[in-house]
Amino acid sequence: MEKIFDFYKKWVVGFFVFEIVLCVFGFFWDVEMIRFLGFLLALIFLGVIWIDRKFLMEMQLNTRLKLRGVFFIQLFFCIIFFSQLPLVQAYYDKFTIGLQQKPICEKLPPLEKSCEIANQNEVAGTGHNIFHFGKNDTEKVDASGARDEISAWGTLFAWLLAAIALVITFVTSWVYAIAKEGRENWEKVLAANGLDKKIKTIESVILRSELHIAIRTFFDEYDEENVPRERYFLKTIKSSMILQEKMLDDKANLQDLKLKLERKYQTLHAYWQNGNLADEAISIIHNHYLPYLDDLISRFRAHHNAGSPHGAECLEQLNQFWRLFSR
Amino acid sequence: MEIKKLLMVDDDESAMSDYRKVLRQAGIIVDFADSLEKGFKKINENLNAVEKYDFILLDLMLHGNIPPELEVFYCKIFKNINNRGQALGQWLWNMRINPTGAHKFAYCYLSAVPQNYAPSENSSDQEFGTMFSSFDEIKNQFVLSKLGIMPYLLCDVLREIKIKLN
Repeated sequence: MEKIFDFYKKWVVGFFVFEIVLCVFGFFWDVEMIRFLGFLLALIFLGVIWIDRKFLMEMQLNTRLKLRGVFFIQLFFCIIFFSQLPLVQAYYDKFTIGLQQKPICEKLPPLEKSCEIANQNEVAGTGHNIFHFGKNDTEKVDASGARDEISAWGTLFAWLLAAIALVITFVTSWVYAIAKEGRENWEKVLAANGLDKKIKTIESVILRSELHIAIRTFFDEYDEENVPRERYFLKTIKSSMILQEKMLDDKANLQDLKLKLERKYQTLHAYWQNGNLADEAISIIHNHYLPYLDDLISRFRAHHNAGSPHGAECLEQLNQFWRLFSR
Repeated sequence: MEIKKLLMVDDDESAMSDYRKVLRQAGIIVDFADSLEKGFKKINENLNAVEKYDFILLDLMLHGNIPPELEVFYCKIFKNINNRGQALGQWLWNMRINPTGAHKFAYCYLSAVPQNYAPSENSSDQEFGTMFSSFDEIKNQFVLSKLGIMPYLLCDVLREIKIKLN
């Protein structure tokens, strides 16, 4: 535990030093290089935050939160650090374009005037149109300035988008991590009070009841003359359920249960494969029996892990049912 | 050839309720045994009863222990596929062909997996072998499929089988 903490402490300090060095050299170095390094650093932090979730599972919650907080802050500063450079450059570009355009714009009215006079004087002589020549030139300069300005805003917008995307990634990761931790803590609280088992039991009861209700509704809607196969099939499902539930009872005769279930399986297999069952019966299996079976398998696993003598063979038999209907 | 009283031997009583209902609606008294042992016991008890079973409907796959009297009929082939119901059927057949047999019960099988029906170890002991020489023919005639036979048709089919057997 301590080793992990030391390892992280070293990395945190190391990254801080690296950032300070980058900041100092950022004033003198090539801007593109700093951008690249800043981006690289942000990626590293993102990776560390991501790996952190797996690495720090053994640590205490407070320590984990502190370390994660440090990395999040580092990531935040890193984003600010490398995004401010393009921002400054974009404003700088805009400023210089403004400076370049200003003298031309100021000269435009007198130039237009002189061109107009020249035009009036020489219109019949040479046929040259000075005014029009000057106007075209001005348009070219304006277009070039506008392009540069658009380009600068485009660069700014692209960087802003990149920064927002990174922030969204970071926030998503953060929210996910917090939610996961919250859930873990909630599960711990539930487990401490024995509420998790109660909730699980209630869920199982609900799933079982839903299946019974669905079958009962089917029986009420369709009589034996209309859908005899489906009725027989669903009745066999019901009796299989009773047998499967009995498998959780440690006092039950396992060999007898397995034999009975094997027969049920054969019957259900024959009906499922060749019975041309009505869609309503099939939907009961997909919507109610399979979720119930899923729950039963997880309950059986928990029971088995808790030291029940009923082992892997029973689990295999339940999986056999699951495989049949999930195909 | 009327059927007034019938014994159904099947390990899933609730699943067979539709068949029972139809048979009862046809005026047949339906008795039920949900294991091999119980079925065997009921048949033996019925041997001394005034009103005997007119028909016995057996499932191929039954659970429960094999009664000692049936051990001899539970051959290796049946054991391999756990066809305990066939041991009971073989015992009933033996009673039918034996001149000293206590009673000649009419019977047949009703199964979800009729393909599991297996031939007897000795062809001379083959059930219904005196009526049909081909095993497939026996299977088609006396092993009814739950998938193939509708409950409302069961009554007529059983009557036809009873006529064949007599």
